[in-house]
Amino acid sequence: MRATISGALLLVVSLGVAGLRSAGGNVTGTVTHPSATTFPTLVYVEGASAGKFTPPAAHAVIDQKGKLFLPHVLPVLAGTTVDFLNGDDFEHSVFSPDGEKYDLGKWSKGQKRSYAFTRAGVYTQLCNLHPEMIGYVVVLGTPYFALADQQGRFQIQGVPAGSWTLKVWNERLRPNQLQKAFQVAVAEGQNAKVDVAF
Amino acid sequence: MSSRIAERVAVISTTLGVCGAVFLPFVYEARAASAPFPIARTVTLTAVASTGTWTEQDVNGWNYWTRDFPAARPVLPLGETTLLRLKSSDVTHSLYIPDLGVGPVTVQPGHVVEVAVRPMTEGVFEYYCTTVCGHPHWGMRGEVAVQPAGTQAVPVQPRSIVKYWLEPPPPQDAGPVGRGKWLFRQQGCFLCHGPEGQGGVVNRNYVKDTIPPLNLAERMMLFESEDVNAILDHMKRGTRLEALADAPPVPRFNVFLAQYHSVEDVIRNGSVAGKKDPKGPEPPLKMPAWGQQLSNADIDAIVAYLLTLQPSK
Amino acid sequence: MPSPANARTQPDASDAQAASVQGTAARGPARTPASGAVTPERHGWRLDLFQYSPIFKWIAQRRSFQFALVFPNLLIILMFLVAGVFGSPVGNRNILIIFIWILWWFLLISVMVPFASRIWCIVCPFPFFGEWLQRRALIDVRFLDPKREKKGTDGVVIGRNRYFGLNRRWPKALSNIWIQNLFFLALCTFSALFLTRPIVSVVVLGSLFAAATVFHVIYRQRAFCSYVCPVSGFLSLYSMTSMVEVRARDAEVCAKCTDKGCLAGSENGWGCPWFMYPSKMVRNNYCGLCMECVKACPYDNMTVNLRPFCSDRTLKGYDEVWKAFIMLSLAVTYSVLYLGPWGVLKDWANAPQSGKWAGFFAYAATLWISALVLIPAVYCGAVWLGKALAGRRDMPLKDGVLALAYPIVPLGLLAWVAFSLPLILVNGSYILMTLSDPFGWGWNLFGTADLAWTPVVPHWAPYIQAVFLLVAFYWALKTGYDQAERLFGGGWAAAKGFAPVSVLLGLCVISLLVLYVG
Repeated sequence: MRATISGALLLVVSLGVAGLRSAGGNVTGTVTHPSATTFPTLVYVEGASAGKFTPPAAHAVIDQKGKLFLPHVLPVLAGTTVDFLNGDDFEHSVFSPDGEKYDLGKWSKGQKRSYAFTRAGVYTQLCNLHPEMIGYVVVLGTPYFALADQQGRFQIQGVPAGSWTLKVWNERLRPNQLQKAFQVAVAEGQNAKVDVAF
Repeated sequence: MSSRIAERVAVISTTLGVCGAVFLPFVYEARAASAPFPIARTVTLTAVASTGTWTEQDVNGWNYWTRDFPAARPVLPLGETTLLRLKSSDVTHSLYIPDLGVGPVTVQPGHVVEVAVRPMTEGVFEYYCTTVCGHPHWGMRGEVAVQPAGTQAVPVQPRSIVKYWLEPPPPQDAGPVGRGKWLFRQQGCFLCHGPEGQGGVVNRNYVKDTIPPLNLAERMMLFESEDVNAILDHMKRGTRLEALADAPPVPRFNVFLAQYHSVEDVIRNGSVAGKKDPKGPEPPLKMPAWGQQLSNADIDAIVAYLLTLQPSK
Repeated sequence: MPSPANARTQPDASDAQAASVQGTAARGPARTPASGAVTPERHGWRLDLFQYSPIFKWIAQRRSFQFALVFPNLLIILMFLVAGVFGSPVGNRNILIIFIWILWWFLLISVMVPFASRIWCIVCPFPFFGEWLQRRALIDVRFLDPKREKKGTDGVVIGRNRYFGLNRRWPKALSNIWIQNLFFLALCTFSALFLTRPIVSVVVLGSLFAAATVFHVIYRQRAFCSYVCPVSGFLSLYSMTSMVEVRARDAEVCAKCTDKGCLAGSENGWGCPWFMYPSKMVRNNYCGLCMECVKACPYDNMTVNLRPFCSDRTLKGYDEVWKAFIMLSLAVTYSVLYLGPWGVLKDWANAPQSGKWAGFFAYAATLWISALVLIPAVYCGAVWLGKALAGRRDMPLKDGVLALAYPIVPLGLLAWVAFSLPLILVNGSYILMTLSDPFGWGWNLFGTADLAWTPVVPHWAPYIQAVFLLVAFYWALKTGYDQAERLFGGGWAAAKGFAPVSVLLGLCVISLLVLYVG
């Protein structure tokens, strides 16, 4: 719950910043792939043609409750700090073997540890004590991203006008599928629709 | 006294003495056992480590070695007090019936521990042993049925456990998967995790209710069978997986490796079973630490075997 | 009770009321015939216990003496066997295991043998039924008066007693303790099996019980006890150190005696069932202290003496020498196995449970080869070397070995005591527990069933053990040197002759000390 709220907040703020630049539109579509209906799927705009984006001041949150990372996938803009909580009555740990690698150690209920994600990339979140716990923090270069719903439908809001490359990420896509780029052109003040099919 | 009388006395006292020595203990025991209890109903449960059962049958020095004791399924009357007389026939055991608030009661061999139970809810409840008593320990559980007094006990198929722990070790060329399979059974892992790692055993007040399936391949990011086989090939050849970091055989090899180490750590060091209700009872089943009993090669073998189970979608 | 009607007592040299203490000077070089055979001589003082305590004498002369002692023991062992079958399978909760392998064993080796010789043999219940069948009497004597009865009727006549059963002679070739040597070694090899499992103990003890009965029906007198029983094997050897003996009081009386009641039996007593000739007996080895000779002697010339430790010094055959080697090897092996830090050895010894049969065969093979071949070979080599150093290459090796193997007897005995001591200190509390709950059925007869396991001063055990080992070393050296003097003459020859053996004894003691004290 908290995670979803902060995620939404993040999105709104980042879009607000981006919106100052040029009025754009929403990019909507559907991801057609068997894994999109089973695993949280992220659709994002790759790179940025102009300038950097200011990361939000508010921290994003991932909780660990019932031996699960909540949310299972957290997309953030590069530069965001993520707070890792512990909502269970026993210890958890968080570490990631991806990118620059980090290990936040172990902590108990009520405590939290934070980490600032500066580099773009996919960071697998693992708990050393409970190998069945897997989560992801996907650090992106732009704030233009959205998680698809259970049917694979997504809506990226406030994408500035221009020609963009869309990419898809979920935990089951193979490397060649992750590389696949989808072109979308956003006209001023207009919404664009794109079919993401593999 | 003439020698004749002395001789007669000797013969008579020998005859009486021999009969007495043999039969007196049973007479005394029968008297002691039939002494009236303030509680009308007693159920005697004896723990047997070699079969991993709490049994209602009588266990003695002779049949302990020969009989295959079935797990007890006592039927207790609803709302009435029953006295449980708990005995152990070999090592220290414990009886834990979390739903009836019994225990864990530790039972030392040679002592009889008496516990009075007055169950107020009807149903079928699991009992467990919570003191490690041998390889079959993890299967040392069964059911207690609580029914209104006087009703017929519902006939139930006795749960049979295959004594996998008695299997002989596999031949040398079976490789790590064959050895891992044998270890998984011999050490009793299958008793909680299921013979195919499917889990499903009820663990009272555990955060996930039942023991989850061991889908290790999925957790280690080996989503396709070709990924699993690539790893298994290396394990069969005895390659150190850490050394493959420069030429990873599977995608996201770094995550795989991190998970592999975490899994091995859990097997080595054990894991506490998280409570679903923090104020509730301690879950009776938890992952024990195997580091003292299994070498690193053994743990690798078990992981290799588990990778072949539960193929991911 | 019939008293010796025609007892003719020769006047004693000493006053009947005063205790008589006879001392003989046994120091100095003895006669050494060309063969080098050691003459058995009396060492040290003797205290005639029958004169010291007339009550003791009176008791020993009762016909019901043996029965009164065996009967309670018989009932106890029967109850123990019942406990083994029907009682708890847990070793430390079963009176059979605790009272026999811990209490009885400790008392036997530490108290009964050093102080009272083969006293266990009087109270032993195993031959009870066999002897009853043989004698057809529990208390009576079946006396065949040659003047009144014809021979050859009803039963077999041996001397002047009548026996039933087949009464065959024991084969001459087996009239030694080799069967007992190997039997005891076999039992000890498998000891891990029965020491902890009541039912296996029942099988072992029950078989001995049954075998004793059967042998008594087939063979004469105490053939089983003399030649088969594994306990008898080591009792025979270690009773040589004992402080009690049954001997003829006055040799002159025996020389003039034509009755020979001690051997042939009389109306008052059975002839010695242990195949001994009591009046000529000079060693404790095969005397079971049954006191039949005391009753049968027409001149009341048999008595019980108190004497110094290690008074019998003569080993009479390789079977006895090898017994000494076997017992010492077992003491060392058991110390390593049960008190040592190498747990894997226990797994090997406990093969039926651990499944490690390869290790078991390794352990068994090592044990048998050390006991029967290696240690004797090394020891005999040391004896040979000593003989050479003392300039007596002419002496047959057998004489040297028979004499110089003696020190292992007190060494072995005290090493066994040292080994058994921590067992009783650590497990002794189980004795009180099983006394109250012998079957593990939940009884509490004396209120001690719930005693927690309490090891008694376990941290002192190594030091007490060390003391025993040092005492053992003292006695080994003392008796060994005496034997060497006897063999080689006094002075330097004895010292040189004994030196290699004394080095071996020292090494043995040091390794045991290291094992026990660390």
